[in-house]
Amino acid sequence: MKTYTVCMAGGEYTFDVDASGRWSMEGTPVESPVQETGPGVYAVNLGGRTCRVVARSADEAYLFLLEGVQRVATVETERTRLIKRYARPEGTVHHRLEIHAPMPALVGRLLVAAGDEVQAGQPLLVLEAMKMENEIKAHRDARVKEIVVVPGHTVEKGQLLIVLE
Amino acid sequence: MKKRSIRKILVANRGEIALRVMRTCRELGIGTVAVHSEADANMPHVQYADESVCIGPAPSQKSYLVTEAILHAARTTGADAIHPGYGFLSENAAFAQCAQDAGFIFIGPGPAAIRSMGDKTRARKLVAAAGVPVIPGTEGAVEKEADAAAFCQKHGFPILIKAAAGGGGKGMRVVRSIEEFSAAFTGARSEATTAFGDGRVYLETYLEEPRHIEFQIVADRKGNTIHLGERECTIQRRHQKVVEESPSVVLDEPLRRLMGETAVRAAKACRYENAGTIEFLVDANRKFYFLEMNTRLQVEHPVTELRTGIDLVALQIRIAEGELLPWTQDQIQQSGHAIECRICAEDPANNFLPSTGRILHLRPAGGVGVRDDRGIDAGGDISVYYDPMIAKLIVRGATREEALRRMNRALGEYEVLGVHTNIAFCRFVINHEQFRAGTFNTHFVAEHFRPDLLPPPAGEAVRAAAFLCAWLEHTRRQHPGNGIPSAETPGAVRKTWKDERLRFMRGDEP
Repeated sequence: MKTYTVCMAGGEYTFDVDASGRWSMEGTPVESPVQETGPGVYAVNLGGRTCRVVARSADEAYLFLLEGVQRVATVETERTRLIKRYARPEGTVHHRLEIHAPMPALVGRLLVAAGDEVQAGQPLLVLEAMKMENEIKAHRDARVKEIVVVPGHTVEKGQLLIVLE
Repeated sequence: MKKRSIRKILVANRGEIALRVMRTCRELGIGTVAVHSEADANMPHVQYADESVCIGPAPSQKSYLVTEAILHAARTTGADAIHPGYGFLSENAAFAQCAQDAGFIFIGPGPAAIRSMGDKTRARKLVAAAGVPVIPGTEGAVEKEADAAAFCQKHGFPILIKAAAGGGGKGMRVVRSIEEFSAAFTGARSEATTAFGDGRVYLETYLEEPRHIEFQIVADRKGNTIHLGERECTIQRRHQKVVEESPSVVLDEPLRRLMGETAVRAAKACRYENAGTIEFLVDANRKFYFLEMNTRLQVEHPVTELRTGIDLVALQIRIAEGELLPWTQDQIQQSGHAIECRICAEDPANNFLPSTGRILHLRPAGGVGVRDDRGIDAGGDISVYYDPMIAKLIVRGATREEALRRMNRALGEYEVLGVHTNIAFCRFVINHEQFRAGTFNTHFVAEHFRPDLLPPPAGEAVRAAAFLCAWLEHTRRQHPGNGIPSAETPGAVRKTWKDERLRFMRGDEP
């Protein structure tokens, strides 16, 4: 018997499968529940109506559509759950002094310089994406320690832009 | 000028509008030439065209905005006409002039009309002289902050700063107090410089709670000018239209006739030829003001096509050939109700941040009364270089109620995986009681939308999706490399070495 826990949309769902491939959901068996009907398109029947689910694996997670919204699920076995619990301390430190790009973009104007004192809500620089300008603002009062990017350069989502102190 | 029939059209655009223009060309037996950037070599509009020419690298400043590259493509392929679509060079008078000088038919208005309507301050003066109501504003572009401050002193806040050369919300700022003014003025000028290569801005009084209603105009070479009814485009986000519909719920027959006649007068004021749009703002007292004229085909033109049965691109081509309008105003028949939603790659749950990436799966909506205008398929990339629009979903119903039900159904069918989309947001809008009641203004999204108002998915669908993920994970562990389509290689077999590495990293059971 193997147990899989799926974490998605703020909830956890647990399913069991035995050695001969029979699935059950919260103790209730489900019969031949999944059929792939096209690339990445599945018919799923848990004993009620047949649901159409579109999904892809993506690194260590799954991408799928739920009522028009793309969501991400992670799937854990009992063993990976255990490893995770010991490997990652509770509440990882969040580097709130680093400003990251919220999307892939071109770096537009810099509105501050290293050494400047900035206030919460003050625009730091402008990112251009899809022809719109987006001001990236300071989320707290701080001093600008370092500006890592140069106007005209392309940045990826999550890339470090500015370090505050 | 003599009539001249068109045999081959180069479409100086990309994506859905390029494809939409070519479809009409094919129906009319006219050859098509696509132009594309290096990034767009495999896009549907390139595959659809009879011929295609690469005109430069991905950034549009180096490809879709390069006049000489486009004219060179037209010459080498023997095209005799150029359709500019919308955006890019469509409202660039110099481009229209160069195309004409090079001997091509430009499918759109003449350079003079583009110039006079393209400069928003000149346009306002021109139509005001023809008796069209305009919003109080500065006479011309404002260069100095002091001059701008003087206008604010005289007319009071709120005021709107707008780019003289632009549209589409770029270089636009609302200012509610003198303290906000300086930053907004600088920001608008800089954004206008980036977007249009022209940093001039002007000021006007900002109407509270306005509705945005536009009229489709068509005019021929002899100056015969008619309108094809209105489009209500009030639902906008950051000055970008999201939902458009026709007819507008706030216009009654006398007001519609008055606004239509006024729109025709505005178009005649610049001797307009071909298809164009007069945009009005309508205030809470149903007084209307000229906003601007768009001297091109609009994104939302299918709304008018579904109500009139007229193919606007076919009409544009016939007018460009020198044909006269086949109808008078009285002969225009409109029926039913049409709605368009712009499906864009952006994340409504995360402040509508643009979402880039590869589209892994796409299935459009179908069925009765549904039209899907789209220029990208599964496997295509949404990049930072271009507009984030994936598709225009347009429906027609006998009544507004039927059209809304149909749109809700169609949005429910639309599937896009790989990038975030605003599909759930569009459903939120069209199902909102204020939208249903017709009592909304241009601030609708800011006032009514919060991400937590998006309805949670139904329990059964959630369980099915959760189970599928468990099943996929189990299958992958039982049969490594067994071809679960992945995001990195859509539809292809997952690489075994990667699986092995992941298994090692995760400490899985062998």
